[in-house]
Parts: sequence; C-alpha cells; structure tokens
Amino acid sequence: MSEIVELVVPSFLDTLYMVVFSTFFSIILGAPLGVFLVLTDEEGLLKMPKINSVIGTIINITRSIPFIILIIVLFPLSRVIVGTTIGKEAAVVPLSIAAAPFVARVVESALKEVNKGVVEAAVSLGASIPQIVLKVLIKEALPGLILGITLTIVNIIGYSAMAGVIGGGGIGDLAVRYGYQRFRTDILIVTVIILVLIVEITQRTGNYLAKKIDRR
Amino acid sequence: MIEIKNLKKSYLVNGKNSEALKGINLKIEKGQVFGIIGKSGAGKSTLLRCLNLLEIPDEGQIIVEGEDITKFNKRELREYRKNVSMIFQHFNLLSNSNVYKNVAFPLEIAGYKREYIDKRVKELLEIVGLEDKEREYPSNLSGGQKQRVAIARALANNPKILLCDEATSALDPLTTKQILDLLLHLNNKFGLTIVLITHEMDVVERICSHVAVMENGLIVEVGKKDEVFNSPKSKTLKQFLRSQNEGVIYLDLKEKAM
Repeated sequence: MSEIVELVVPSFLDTLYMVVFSTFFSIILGAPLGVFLVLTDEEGLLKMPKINSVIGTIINITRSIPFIILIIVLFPLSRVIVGTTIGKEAAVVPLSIAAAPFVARVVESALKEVNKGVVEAAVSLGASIPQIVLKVLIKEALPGLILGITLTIVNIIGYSAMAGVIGGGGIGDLAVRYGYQRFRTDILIVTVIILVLIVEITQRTGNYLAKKIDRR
Repeated sequence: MIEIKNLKKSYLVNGKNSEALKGINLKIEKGQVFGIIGKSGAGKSTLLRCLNLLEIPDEGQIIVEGEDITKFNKRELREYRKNVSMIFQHFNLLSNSNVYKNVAFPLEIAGYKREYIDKRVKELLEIVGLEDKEREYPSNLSGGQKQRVAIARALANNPKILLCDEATSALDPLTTKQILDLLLHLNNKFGLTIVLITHEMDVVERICSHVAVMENGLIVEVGKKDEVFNSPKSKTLKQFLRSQNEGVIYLDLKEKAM
C-alpha cells in the first residue's frame, strides 16, 4: 500500500504540473488567436477574410497532427525553451502547442455566440475594438469560455498521459510503466481511478462555475 | 442640425446589387422629434443606421452640426458616436451585466472616474424611473424596463441626438405609451433631438413633430406631422392612415363589446 502511495503521489503532482502550466500557456497562445479569428471573420469588426482563412488553415493543420508526432517534431523547440527534451517541463511545450489551436477554436465559437446586437450597441456607443473585446465579447461569452477551457483541461489531462513517452512522468506514465510493463494490475487500477476522478472533478467544477456566472 | 444630401447605399444580395437608399435628401432641426415611416424594406432602417455610420453610405453627405460625418476617421467617429446614441427594438443590453453596469458601460469606455460614473448612473436611473433595479440583471426585467435601461445607457454621455430603431415594436401598447412618454419628456426637458423609425402609426401620432415617409429607398413625403397627415399624397401613407383608422374602429368595437 505504502509503495503505491509512494509511486502515485509524485506522479499525480507531475500530472498536475503539466496540466496547470499547459493549460495556462495554451490559453496565452490560443485565446488571442480565437479573438483574432472572430474579429477578422466576414461578419467581424475587422473583416479580413484572407488572413482569417490562412490562420484557420494553420489551426486545422496543427489540430490534425497526432499528438505523439507533435511531441517528436517539437523536440528541438522544447530544447530551446526549457533546455531539455525529457521531463515534465519538456512535456509542457508540446502540450501547450497541441492545445493552443483547440483553445483558439473554443474561444472562437464561444465569442461567436455573443448576440450581434449587443456588439452593435457597443459600437454605437463609441466603444473601440479592444473595449468591445474585453468588456462585451469576453464578458458576455464567459460561461461558454469557462466550459471551453474545462474541455481543454480535460483534453490536456488525456494528452499528458501520453507525455510519458518522453519521460514526462505523470499518472499516465505510471500506468504504462508499472501497470502495463510490470503487470501491476493494482497500480493500473489506482491510476485509472485517479484519472477518472481528476476529469470528473474538473468537469463538474467547470459546469458549476459556468452555470453560476450565467445571467442570461 | 442634421442635413442629409443625396445619400445612396446599396447591398450585394445573392450576387445582385440592391439599392436600399436611392438618393435621400433630408433636414432635421434641433429639438425635433422626427419620425421616419415606411413599410419593411423601404430603407428606413438603413437610413437611420447611416446616421451613426453603423452602415457606411456609398455616396452622399451627412452633415451634423456643420461637419460631414462620412469624412470622419476612426477616432473622430468614436467621439461622434458618444454624441449620437441609439436604442434598439431588442434592447441589446449586456446580459451578463446588471442594470448598473449596463448604464455605466458608455461612461467606463469614455474613461470617466468611478465617483462620477456612480453619480451619473444614479441620476440616469432616476430619470428613467429604475432607481430600485440597480442590481437586477436584464433577464429579470420586463421589456419596458429593459428599454428604460437602454435609454439610460444611451443618455449617459449627454448625447444631442437619440436614434430609435423600432424602439417600441417589441413592446405591448401600454408599455409603448410609457416609453414614448419618457422619450417626449427627454425631448422637452433636455432638448434632445430624436430621430425614430417605426411602422407603427400610433408612435408617430403620439410623439413626432415632423415626419418623413419612405418608399423604395426614397423619401416621398416630408414635413410637419399635422400637415403631412392631413393631406397624405403617397400610397404608403394613405394605406397606413387607413389601416390606422380601421384599428381605431376595431378598438371601438372591442370597447363597446366589453
């Protein structure tokens, strides 16, 4: 029992590390892209259909690369940014980059749900584009954004389990190394239960927050 | 105060060019309550939305207080829009902000200090009679209350002109009357110039001093309301007046039946 705890606790902390930082950086990278997609859309405030379609295509390409390939492709980038290609720090780089286009799409679709009339009212009151983004689009779309970010976190938890491949550590890695390669079924079960619990808690928290701030 | 010269606007609809405004000439003076009526598709909404450049006209000039607004750059346009507010048929309030925050919005974006915003919001809510609804969210308000919030928001930066885009069309008759009374009060008390578009004759009847009738992207009649209504020339106005009379007869019958 104590062996399981000794194995699981550090792995759990590694997973937490990867998920928290990857979520943070994927939002930093992806959210502005999502906003940009909405603004440059044909019905957007900045109407730039060509640039919009170029960015859209880049996002689609990135999203269609299997995560395991992305990790390998991004080895050089991981080395530049964190100085190594193994470990949980190195895993954050491909995780963030893999999740960023997902965040961009999630943000895009949440912001597109905002009532056009409300945006128009803000324009008619003399609001600038940054003011509209911050005080109208993001504020009005907040429940949808929270649900989208929740979805992102759940995805990253799944991806982080794959990060074990590059020695990223974490719960998924533990499941593979002990549960599968050493036939430790008990550890396999514990890791799966923990992953299920993390996902469940994340999703429930997201749903609760989204519902709580939704005044529509 | 507002002078529109040869204003034209067309849209591309399914690959075809459709002219919404075919050369509008119109003068609106300070303090008037100016109604623009017409059937749907006559171009009245496009015309109104040109007045704050939500629609960019293809040709022509809109001169407001001596300046051609179609020549404004982005910054000048934002400043201009703070002087010309708009209210809408569906209110367009921020649904995730309470009444206070909705009214404070134009003041916040204009960069006022918090103390001033607080004082001004309270003043505005008093003008529209919603002092006790500060903390409510729009979803908890009736249509009439929502439009009052929208009016308070529109008045926040002391505009000289208020544009009303079918502002009472989503409201019941009694609420419509109350909102119109409020608009008339604002016109009397603050000298606010009001330009409204509507397809409801009652609205024009009740508050407009002047009226223009639109047909197919052109203004076919314009002048003081009483003069225009007493000698209608256009097909649209004749039809409108007739259907209004029928409405009156209908109401009479209903009252008698009750």
